[in-house]
Amino acid sequence: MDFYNFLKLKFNLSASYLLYVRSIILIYCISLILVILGFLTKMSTIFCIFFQLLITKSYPEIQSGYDYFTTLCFFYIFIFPTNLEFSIDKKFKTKKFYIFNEKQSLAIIKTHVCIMYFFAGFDKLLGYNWRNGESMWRVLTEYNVTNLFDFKKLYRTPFFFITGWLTIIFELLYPIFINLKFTRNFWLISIIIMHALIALFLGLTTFSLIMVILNLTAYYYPFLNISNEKK
Amino acid sequence: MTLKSNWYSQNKKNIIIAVVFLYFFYIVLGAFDSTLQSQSELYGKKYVQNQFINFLLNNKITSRLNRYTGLEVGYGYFAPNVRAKFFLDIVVDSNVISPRFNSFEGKMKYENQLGEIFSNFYDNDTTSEITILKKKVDNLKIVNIVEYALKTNKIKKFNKIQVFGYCLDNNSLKDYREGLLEKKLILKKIDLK
Repeated sequence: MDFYNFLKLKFNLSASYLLYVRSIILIYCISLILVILGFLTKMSTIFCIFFQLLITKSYPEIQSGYDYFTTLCFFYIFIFPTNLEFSIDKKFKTKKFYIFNEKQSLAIIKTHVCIMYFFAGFDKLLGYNWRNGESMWRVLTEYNVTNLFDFKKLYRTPFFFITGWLTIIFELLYPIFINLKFTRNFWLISIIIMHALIALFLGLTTFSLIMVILNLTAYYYPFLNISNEKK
Repeated sequence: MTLKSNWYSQNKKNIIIAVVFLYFFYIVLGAFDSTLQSQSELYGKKYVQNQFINFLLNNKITSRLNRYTGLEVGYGYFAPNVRAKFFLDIVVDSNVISPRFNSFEGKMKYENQLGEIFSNFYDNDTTSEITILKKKVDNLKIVNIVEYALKTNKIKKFNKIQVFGYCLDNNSLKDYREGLLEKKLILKKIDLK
Protein backbone atom coordinates (compact mmCIF):
# COMPACT_ATOMS: atom_id res chain seq x y z
CA MET A 1 0.00 0.00 0.00
CA ASP A 2 1.16 3.53 -0.65
CA PHE A 3 1.37 5.08 2.78
CA TYR A 4 2.02 8.51 1.32
CA ASN A 5 -1.22 8.65 -0.73
CA PHE A 6 -3.22 7.13 2.08
CA LEU A 7 -2.21 9.90 4.49
CA LYS A 8 -2.56 12.64 1.90
CA LEU A 9 -6.03 11.60 0.77
CA LYS A 10 -7.39 10.71 4.17
CA PHE A 11 -5.97 13.47 6.33
CA ASN A 12 -5.12 16.30 3.87
CA LEU A 13 -1.64 16.47 5.29
CA SER A 14 0.87 19.15 4.53
CA ALA A 15 4.33 18.42 3.23
CA SER A 16 5.96 18.92 6.62
CA TYR A 17 4.15 15.93 8.09
CA LEU A 18 5.09 13.80 5.15
CA LEU A 19 8.64 14.92 5.59
CA TYR A 20 8.35 13.67 9.16
CA VAL A 21 7.09 10.29 7.97
CA ARG A 22 9.86 9.95 5.38
CA SER A 23 12.45 10.99 7.90
CA ILE A 24 11.27 8.18 10.20
CA ILE A 25 11.79 5.70 7.39
CA LEU A 26 15.19 7.23 6.62
CA ILE A 27 16.31 7.01 10.26
CA TYR A 28 15.13 3.40 10.35
CA CYS A 29 17.18 2.58 7.26
CA ILE A 30 20.25 4.31 8.73
CA SER A 31 19.82 2.37 11.99
CA LEU A 32 19.67 -0.87 10.00
CA ILE A 33 22.90 -0.01 8.20
CA LEU A 34 24.59 0.80 11.53
CA VAL A 35 23.46 -2.55 12.97
CA ILE A 36 24.83 -4.39 9.92
CA LEU A 37 28.15 -2.55 10.21
CA GLY A 38 28.23 -3.14 13.96
CA PHE A 39 28.70 0.50 14.90
CA LEU A 40 27.04 1.55 18.17
CA THR A 41 25.19 -1.73 17.81
CA LYS A 42 23.10 -1.64 20.96
CA MET A 43 21.93 1.95 20.47
CA SER A 44 21.18 1.32 16.80
CA THR A 45 19.22 -1.82 17.67
CA ILE A 46 17.01 0.13 20.06
CA PHE A 47 16.28 2.61 17.27
CA CYS A 48 15.55 -0.29 14.90
CA ILE A 49 13.07 -1.88 17.31
CA PHE A 50 11.37 1.45 17.98
CA PHE A 51 11.02 2.54 14.36
CA GLN A 52 10.13 -0.91 13.05
CA LEU A 53 7.28 -1.14 15.56
CA LEU A 54 6.25 2.45 14.84
CA ILE A 55 6.04 1.82 11.11
CA THR A 56 4.40 -1.63 11.20
CA LYS A 57 1.95 -0.91 14.02
CA SER A 58 0.94 2.47 12.57
CA TYR A 59 0.06 0.84 9.29
CA PRO A 60 -0.95 -2.78 9.90
CA GLU A 61 -1.63 -3.43 6.21
CA ILE A 62 2.11 -3.65 5.58
CA GLN A 63 2.66 -5.92 8.55
CA SER A 64 3.34 -9.53 7.91
CA GLY A 65 4.35 -12.57 9.95
CA TYR A 66 8.03 -11.99 9.35
CA ASP A 67 7.82 -8.55 11.01
CA TYR A 68 7.37 -10.30 14.36
CA PHE A 69 10.43 -12.41 13.66
CA THR A 70 12.32 -9.26 12.69
CA THR A 71 11.41 -7.71 16.06
CA LEU A 72 12.53 -10.92 17.76
CA CYS A 73 15.86 -10.83 15.91
CA PHE A 74 16.40 -7.19 16.92
CA PHE A 75 15.67 -8.08 20.54
CA TYR A 76 18.22 -10.88 20.45
CA ILE A 77 20.80 -8.64 18.74
CA PHE A 78 20.34 -6.25 21.67
CA ILE A 79 20.72 -8.74 24.51
CA PHE A 80 23.31 -11.04 22.93
CA PRO A 81 27.02 -10.15 22.54
CA THR A 82 26.66 -9.48 18.82
CA ASN A 83 29.27 -6.71 18.52
CA LEU A 84 32.26 -8.75 19.70
CA GLU A 85 33.28 -9.88 16.21
CA PHE A 86 33.07 -8.46 12.67
CA SER A 87 32.00 -5.05 13.91
CA ILE A 88 33.25 -1.47 13.96
CA ASP A 89 32.62 -1.46 17.73
CA LYS A 90 35.37 -4.04 18.13
CA LYS A 91 37.92 -1.82 16.33
CA PHE A 92 37.04 1.26 18.37
CA LYS A 93 36.94 -0.84 21.55
CA THR A 94 33.72 0.80 22.66
CA LYS A 95 32.28 -0.21 26.01
CA LYS A 96 30.58 -3.54 25.55
CA PHE A 97 27.24 -4.30 27.10
CA TYR A 98 25.67 -7.69 27.04
CA ILE A 99 23.56 -9.72 29.41
CA PHE A 100 24.45 -13.22 28.22
CA ASN A 101 27.75 -14.66 27.10
CA GLU A 102 28.19 -16.52 23.80
CA LYS A 103 27.31 -19.98 25.05
CA GLN A 104 24.21 -18.78 26.86
CA SER A 105 23.09 -16.76 23.82
CA LEU A 106 23.45 -19.79 21.57
CA ALA A 107 21.50 -21.96 24.00
CA ILE A 108 18.67 -19.41 24.13
CA ILE A 109 18.34 -19.07 20.40
CA LYS A 110 18.48 -22.84 19.88
CA THR A 111 15.79 -23.38 22.48
CA HIS A 112 13.58 -20.73 20.95
CA VAL A 113 13.92 -22.14 17.43
CA CYS A 114 13.09 -25.63 18.73
CA ILE A 115 9.99 -24.33 20.50
CA MET A 116 8.88 -22.53 17.32
CA TYR A 117 9.09 -25.61 15.16
CA PHE A 118 7.60 -27.91 17.77
CA PHE A 119 4.47 -25.81 18.13
CA ALA A 120 4.20 -25.29 14.37
CA GLY A 121 4.17 -29.07 13.96
CA PHE A 122 1.97 -29.63 17.01
CA ASP A 123 -0.73 -27.27 15.73
CA LYS A 124 -0.66 -28.96 12.35
CA LEU A 125 -0.91 -32.38 13.98
CA LEU A 126 -4.01 -31.42 15.96
CA GLY A 127 -5.90 -30.27 12.89
CA TYR A 128 -7.19 -32.83 10.37
CA ASN A 129 -6.53 -30.60 7.36
CA TRP A 130 -2.83 -31.23 7.51
CA ARG A 131 -3.19 -34.92 8.39
CA ASN A 132 -5.40 -35.75 5.40
CA GLY A 133 -3.46 -33.63 2.89
CA GLU A 134 -6.23 -31.07 2.43
CA SER A 135 -4.07 -28.09 3.48
CA MET A 136 -1.26 -29.10 1.11
CA TRP A 137 -3.81 -29.51 -1.70
CA ARG A 138 -5.22 -26.02 -1.18
CA VAL A 139 -1.85 -24.37 -0.69
CA LEU A 140 -0.27 -25.92 -3.79
CA THR A 141 -3.29 -25.60 -6.09
CA GLU A 142 -4.57 -22.16 -5.06
CA TYR A 143 -1.46 -20.30 -3.87
CA ASN A 144 1.06 -21.60 -6.38
CA VAL A 145 2.62 -18.35 -7.55
CA THR A 146 5.26 -19.74 -9.91
CA ASN A 147 2.98 -22.10 -11.88
CA LEU A 148 5.97 -24.29 -12.67
CA PHE A 149 3.90 -27.41 -12.25
CA ASP A 150 0.15 -28.04 -12.13
CA PHE A 151 -0.32 -29.91 -8.88
CA LYS A 152 -3.94 -30.71 -9.74
CA LYS A 153 -2.59 -33.50 -11.93
CA LEU A 154 -1.50 -35.32 -8.78
CA TYR A 155 -4.99 -35.41 -7.26
CA ARG A 156 -5.21 -39.20 -7.47
CA THR A 157 -1.81 -39.79 -5.87
CA PRO A 158 -0.98 -39.76 -2.14
CA PHE A 159 1.38 -36.81 -2.78
CA PHE A 160 -0.57 -34.29 -0.66
CA PHE A 161 -1.04 -36.78 2.17
CA ILE A 162 2.68 -37.60 2.23
CA THR A 163 3.87 -34.00 1.99
CA GLY A 164 1.45 -32.94 4.73
CA TRP A 165 2.76 -35.63 7.06
CA LEU A 166 6.39 -34.89 6.14
CA THR A 167 5.83 -31.26 7.12
CA ILE A 168 4.32 -32.31 10.44
CA ILE A 169 7.11 -34.81 11.17
CA PHE A 170 9.96 -32.47 10.29
CA GLU A 171 8.55 -29.67 12.41
CA LEU A 172 7.30 -31.70 15.36
CA LEU A 173 10.48 -33.76 15.76
CA TYR A 174 12.81 -30.85 15.03
CA PRO A 175 13.83 -30.30 18.70
CA ILE A 176 14.95 -33.93 19.02
CA PHE A 177 16.72 -34.66 15.76
CA ILE A 178 18.36 -31.29 15.20
CA ASN A 179 20.21 -31.71 18.50
CA LEU A 180 21.52 -35.19 17.70
CA LYS A 181 24.91 -35.25 16.02
CA PHE A 182 24.03 -37.96 13.46
CA THR A 183 20.79 -36.40 12.23
CA ARG A 184 21.58 -32.68 12.56
CA ASN A 185 22.80 -32.04 9.03
CA PHE A 186 20.01 -34.03 7.44
CA TRP A 187 17.31 -32.29 9.46
CA LEU A 188 18.82 -28.86 8.86
CA ILE A 189 19.01 -29.41 5.11
CA SER A 190 15.43 -30.73 5.06
CA ILE A 191 14.09 -27.69 6.91
CA ILE A 192 15.99 -25.34 4.61
CA ILE A 193 14.60 -27.16 1.57
CA MET A 194 11.11 -26.84 3.06
CA HIS A 195 11.56 -23.07 3.44
CA ALA A 196 13.03 -22.81 -0.05
CA LEU A 197 9.95 -24.57 -1.44
CA ILE A 198 7.70 -22.22 0.56
CA ALA A 199 9.56 -19.29 -1.00
CA LEU A 200 9.34 -20.83 -4.47
CA PHE A 201 5.71 -21.94 -4.48
CA LEU A 202 4.05 -19.53 -2.07
CA GLY A 203 6.18 -16.49 -2.78
CA LEU A 204 6.93 -15.91 0.93
CA THR A 205 10.58 -15.13 0.27
CA THR A 206 11.27 -12.78 3.17
CA PHE A 207 9.68 -15.05 5.74
CA SER A 208 11.59 -18.07 4.42
CA LEU A 209 14.82 -16.09 4.42
CA ILE A 210 14.41 -15.12 8.08
CA MET A 211 13.68 -18.70 9.10
CA VAL A 212 16.69 -20.00 7.17
CA ILE A 213 18.89 -17.37 8.85
CA LEU A 214 17.59 -18.43 12.28
CA ASN A 215 18.28 -22.07 11.51
CA LEU A 216 21.79 -21.38 10.22
CA THR A 217 22.55 -19.14 13.21
CA ALA A 218 21.45 -21.78 15.68
CA TYR A 219 22.59 -25.00 14.04
CA TYR A 220 25.11 -24.41 11.28
CA TYR A 221 27.67 -21.72 12.12
CA PRO A 222 28.34 -22.78 15.74
CA PHE A 223 29.19 -26.30 14.57
CA LEU A 224 31.20 -24.97 11.63
CA ASN A 225 33.61 -23.29 14.07
CA ILE A 226 33.95 -26.48 16.11
CA SER A 227 34.75 -28.61 13.05
CA ASN A 228 37.32 -26.05 11.86
CA GLU A 229 39.01 -26.08 15.26
CA LYS A 230 39.23 -29.89 15.18
CA LYS A 231 40.98 -29.73 11.80
CA MET B 1 25.77 -1.44 48.94
CA THR B 2 28.70 -3.78 49.31
CA LEU B 3 26.51 -6.56 50.73
CA LYS B 4 23.99 -6.19 47.86
CA SER B 5 26.67 -6.24 45.17
CA ASN B 6 28.25 -9.32 46.76
CA TRP B 7 24.89 -11.09 46.84
CA TYR B 8 24.29 -10.20 43.18
CA SER B 9 27.72 -11.34 42.00
CA GLN B 10 27.38 -14.60 43.92
CA ASN B 11 23.90 -15.32 42.61
CA LYS B 12 24.18 -13.81 39.12
CA LYS B 13 24.18 -17.18 37.39
CA ASN B 14 21.10 -18.37 39.29
CA ILE B 15 19.26 -15.13 38.53
CA ILE B 16 20.01 -15.44 34.83
CA ILE B 17 18.86 -19.09 34.79
CA ALA B 18 15.64 -18.12 36.60
CA VAL B 19 14.92 -15.28 34.16
CA VAL B 20 15.60 -17.47 31.13
CA PHE B 21 13.42 -20.25 32.57
CA LEU B 22 10.55 -17.79 33.14
CA TYR B 23 11.02 -16.41 29.62
CA PHE B 24 10.70 -19.83 28.00
CA PHE B 25 7.88 -20.88 30.31
CA TYR B 26 6.03 -17.78 29.15
CA ILE B 27 6.73 -18.61 25.48
CA VAL B 28 5.54 -22.23 25.86
CA LEU B 29 2.41 -21.13 27.74
CA GLY B 30 1.59 -18.58 25.05
CA ALA B 31 2.25 -21.10 22.29
CA PHE B 32 -0.05 -23.71 23.90
CA ASP B 33 -2.77 -21.12 24.39
CA SER B 34 -2.57 -19.80 20.83
CA THR B 35 -2.54 -23.37 19.45
CA LEU B 36 -5.71 -24.29 21.32
CA GLN B 37 -7.38 -21.01 20.34
CA SER B 38 -6.55 -21.49 16.66
CA GLN B 39 -7.92 -25.04 16.83
CA SER B 40 -11.17 -23.75 18.31
CA GLU B 41 -11.47 -21.10 15.57
CA LEU B 42 -10.63 -23.38 12.68
CA TYR B 43 -12.38 -26.56 13.71
CA GLY B 44 -15.10 -25.35 16.03
CA LYS B 45 -13.70 -27.12 19.07
CA LYS B 46 -14.57 -25.65 22.45
CA TYR B 47 -11.81 -23.86 24.28
CA VAL B 48 -12.44 -21.66 27.27
CA GLN B 49 -9.34 -19.77 28.28
CA ASN B 50 -8.43 -19.94 31.95
CA GLN B 51 -8.71 -16.51 33.58
CA PHE B 52 -5.32 -16.80 35.25
CA ILE B 53 -3.64 -17.72 31.95
CA ASN B 54 -5.47 -14.86 30.26
CA PHE B 55 -4.16 -12.49 32.95
CA LEU B 56 -0.61 -13.87 32.58
CA LEU B 57 -0.59 -13.55 28.81
CA ASN B 58 -2.63 -10.40 28.25
CA ASN B 59 -1.90 -7.96 31.08
CA LYS B 60 -0.28 -4.59 30.30
CA ILE B 61 3.27 -5.65 31.13
CA THR B 62 3.27 -8.89 29.16
CA SER B 63 1.49 -7.25 26.21
CA ARG B 64 4.33 -4.74 26.01
CA LEU B 65 6.89 -7.52 26.41
CA ASN B 66 5.23 -9.37 23.54
CA ARG B 67 5.30 -6.28 21.37
CA TYR B 68 8.93 -5.26 21.97
CA THR B 69 10.36 -8.76 21.75
CA GLY B 70 8.27 -10.10 18.85
CA LEU B 71 6.77 -12.86 21.00
CA GLU B 72 3.23 -12.02 19.89
CA VAL B 73 3.68 -14.08 16.74
CA GLY B 74 1.80 -17.34 16.95
CA TYR B 75 3.72 -20.46 16.05
CA GLY B 76 0.82 -22.64 15.04
CA TYR B 77 -0.51 -23.43 11.62
CA PHE B 78 1.63 -20.99 9.59
CA ALA B 79 -0.23 -21.06 6.34
CA PRO B 80 -2.24 -18.56 4.34
CA ASN B 81 -5.98 -18.72 4.55
CA VAL B 82 -6.48 -22.08 2.94
CA ARG B 83 -10.18 -22.44 3.63
CA ALA B 84 -11.40 -20.10 0.92
CA LYS B 85 -10.12 -17.50 -1.49
CA PHE B 86 -11.46 -13.99 -1.66
CA PHE B 87 -11.51 -11.51 -4.50
CA LEU B 88 -12.52 -7.93 -4.90
CA ASP B 89 -13.78 -6.66 -8.26
CA ILE B 90 -13.64 -2.89 -8.53
CA VAL B 91 -15.87 -1.63 -11.33
CA VAL B 92 -14.89 1.87 -12.42
CA ASP B 93 -17.22 3.26 -15.11
CA SER B 94 -18.07 -0.32 -16.23
CA ASN B 95 -14.35 -1.32 -16.37
CA VAL B 96 -13.21 -3.95 -13.90
CA ILE B 97 -9.85 -3.20 -12.28
CA SER B 98 -7.83 -4.77 -9.51
CA PRO B 99 -4.77 -3.57 -7.57
CA ARG B 100 -1.38 -4.33 -9.09
CA PHE B 101 1.54 -5.53 -7.05
CA ASN B 102 5.28 -5.53 -7.65
CA SER B 103 6.00 -8.55 -5.47
CA PHE B 104 4.42 -11.87 -4.59
CA GLU B 105 4.49 -10.97 -0.92
CA GLY B 106 2.52 -7.80 -1.59
CA LYS B 107 -0.14 -9.88 -3.29
CA MET B 108 -0.14 -12.37 -0.40
CA LYS B 109 -0.61 -9.56 2.15
CA TYR B 110 -3.45 -8.17 0.07
CA GLU B 111 -5.18 -11.57 -0.08
CA ASN B 112 -4.71 -12.14 3.65
CA GLN B 113 -6.18 -8.73 4.34
CA LEU B 114 -9.16 -9.55 2.13
CA GLY B 115 -9.56 -12.78 4.05
CA GLU B 116 -9.80 -10.81 7.30
CA ILE B 117 -12.38 -8.46 5.77
CA PHE B 118 -14.51 -11.22 4.34
CA SER B 119 -14.39 -13.34 7.49
CA ASN B 120 -16.35 -10.50 9.14
CA PHE B 121 -18.98 -10.53 6.40
CA TYR B 122 -20.93 -13.32 7.99
CA ASP B 123 -21.02 -11.63 11.37
CA ASN B 124 -24.37 -9.82 11.29
CA ASP B 125 -24.68 -9.07 14.99
CA THR B 126 -25.55 -5.35 14.77
CA THR B 127 -25.94 -5.05 18.53
CA SER B 128 -22.30 -5.78 19.23
CA GLU B 129 -20.08 -2.68 19.36
CA ILE B 130 -17.05 -4.73 18.40
CA THR B 131 -18.82 -6.01 15.27
CA ILE B 132 -19.82 -2.48 14.29
CA LEU B 133 -16.26 -1.22 14.81
CA LYS B 134 -14.81 -4.15 12.84
CA LYS B 135 -17.11 -3.42 9.92
CA LYS B 136 -16.12 0.27 9.99
CA VAL B 137 -12.45 -0.70 9.93
CA ASP B 138 -13.11 -3.19 7.12
CA ASN B 139 -14.85 -0.48 5.13
CA LEU B 140 -11.82 1.79 5.51
CA LYS B 141 -9.57 -1.06 4.39
CA ILE B 142 -11.69 -1.56 1.27
CA VAL B 143 -11.51 2.19 0.57
CA ASN B 144 -7.72 1.88 0.90
CA ILE B 145 -7.66 -0.97 -1.57
CA VAL B 146 -9.83 0.91 -4.03
CA GLU B 147 -7.57 3.98 -3.82
CA TYR B 148 -4.50 1.82 -4.34
CA ALA B 149 -6.14 0.10 -7.31
CA LEU B 150 -6.99 3.48 -8.85
CA LYS B 151 -3.42 4.64 -8.37
CA THR B 152 -1.73 1.53 -9.77
CA ASN B 153 -4.09 1.51 -12.75
CA LYS B 154 -3.45 5.24 -13.25
CA ILE B 155 -7.08 6.29 -13.10
CA LYS B 156 -7.48 9.88 -11.97
CA LYS B 157 -11.02 10.69 -13.04
CA PHE B 158 -14.13 8.56 -12.81
CA ASN B 159 -17.88 8.89 -12.47
CA LYS B 160 -18.93 5.76 -10.68
CA ILE B 161 -17.27 3.07 -8.58
CA GLN B 162 -18.85 -0.19 -7.51
CA VAL B 163 -17.15 -2.88 -5.45
CA PHE B 164 -18.10 -6.56 -5.52
CA GLY B 165 -16.72 -9.15 -3.17
CA TYR B 166 -16.39 -12.79 -4.17
CA CYS B 167 -15.85 -15.68 -1.86
CA LEU B 168 -14.54 -18.65 -3.81
CA ASP B 169 -15.01 -21.77 -1.75
CA ASN B 170 -12.53 -23.89 -3.64
CA ASN B 171 -12.95 -27.59 -4.06
CA SER B 172 -11.48 -29.89 -1.50
CA LEU B 173 -9.27 -32.76 -2.59
CA LYS B 174 -12.16 -35.16 -2.01
CA ASP B 175 -14.51 -33.05 -4.18
CA TYR B 176 -11.91 -32.90 -6.94
CA ARG B 177 -11.44 -36.69 -6.86
CA GLU B 178 -15.21 -37.13 -7.14
CA GLY B 179 -15.21 -34.95 -10.22
CA LEU B 180 -16.82 -31.84 -8.77
CA LEU B 181 -14.97 -29.27 -10.85
CA GLU B 182 -17.25 -26.26 -10.39
CA LYS B 183 -16.32 -23.79 -7.70
CA LYS B 184 -18.89 -22.38 -5.34
CA LEU B 185 -19.22 -18.65 -5.68
CA ILE B 186 -20.65 -16.23 -3.18
CA LEU B 187 -21.18 -12.74 -4.46
CA LYS B 188 -21.70 -9.69 -2.29
CA LYS B 189 -21.95 -6.08 -3.33
CA ILE B 190 -20.08 -3.80 -0.96
CA ASP B 191 -21.45 -0.33 -0.32
CA LEU B 192 -18.64 2.10 0.30
CA LYS B 193 -19.37 4.76 2.90
